[in-house]
Amino acid sequence: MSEFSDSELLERFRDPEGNNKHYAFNLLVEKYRKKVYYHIRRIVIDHEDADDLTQNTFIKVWNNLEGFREDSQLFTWIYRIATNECLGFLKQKKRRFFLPIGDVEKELLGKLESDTSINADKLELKLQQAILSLPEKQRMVFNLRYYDNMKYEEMAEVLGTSVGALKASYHHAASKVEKFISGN
Amino acid sequence: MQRARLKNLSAAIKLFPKTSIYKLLAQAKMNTNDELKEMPQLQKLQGQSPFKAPEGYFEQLSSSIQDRIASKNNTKAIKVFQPQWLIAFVFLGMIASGIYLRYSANENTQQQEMANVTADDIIESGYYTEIDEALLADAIPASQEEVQDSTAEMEEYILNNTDETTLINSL
Repeated sequence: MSEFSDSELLERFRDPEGNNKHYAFNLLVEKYRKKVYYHIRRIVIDHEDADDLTQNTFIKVWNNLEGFREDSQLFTWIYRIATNECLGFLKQKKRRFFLPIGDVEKELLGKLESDTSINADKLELKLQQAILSLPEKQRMVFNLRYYDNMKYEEMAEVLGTSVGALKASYHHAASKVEKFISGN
Repeated sequence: MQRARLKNLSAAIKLFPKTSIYKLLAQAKMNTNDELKEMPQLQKLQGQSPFKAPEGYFEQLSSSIQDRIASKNNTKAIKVFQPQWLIAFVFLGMIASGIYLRYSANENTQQQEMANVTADDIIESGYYTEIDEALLADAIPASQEEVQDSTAEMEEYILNNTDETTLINSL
């Protein structure tokens, strides 16, 4: 994992005199590739789709890093791009064959149950099913808090929602998921 | 031992330059477990994830991204021809064909009907009485030879069928 901070990586990337752009970007990719991939994978389930979206995310980072205004943290900015890639992908899926929202969830559930690379026992599978039943944005909130342990202030930068709304959303999501797993 | 601890502490401070070490410790305590206090199942499963990436995936991910940047093909090729476009084209084609067939059928029907109209039909309809004579005259093809031939015929007819007195009085 990269030992450089985000500001150091940015500095290297923007260094006009050095030829560090690709090297700095490589370090950035190494630093965030797993987090970005798993964040996306938890939303889209399928590895191939997650791979496409992960690559697209980092390509967008490369294209826009020069103009990054630093009004948010670098990693929340990257997460934001990844999140938007996921939302765009799911929207496209709904439009492609005029699928209503419920059918997209069914499709993702089907992938979850049939994907042999997914190593889940009964309870873990039930947890993923519960998460899939949440509305898209609530699913994002749940995943970012439950799996990434992201602070609400950072989540607010990623999702563009207030801290209070995010706390309420997470609490609501967690209750629903707990009920689902417990079979209540 | 003390040195190792200090080394870890300084590494931690480097990662989070804006946060004091005390705030870090407080935040570590106040983690999601507090929020999940009354949710035992979620507490049990926290930290586990069923999703696994294929072996070697992350190592090749960086080079895949760099290759795409190098080739300046920044986004994966959008399929130009997508199934839903085919459906849309077929649908539009069907509508266009339907309109064309209906229109040409109407035209054919009209032409057929017109071909079947006889002179008696026209007379019965009374339509011919409304026809402008000038239009009729224009419709008749005018040829100089025909005019000359018809004049000669007319003269012969008049001479054969009219007496001299009537002819002189009409001049």
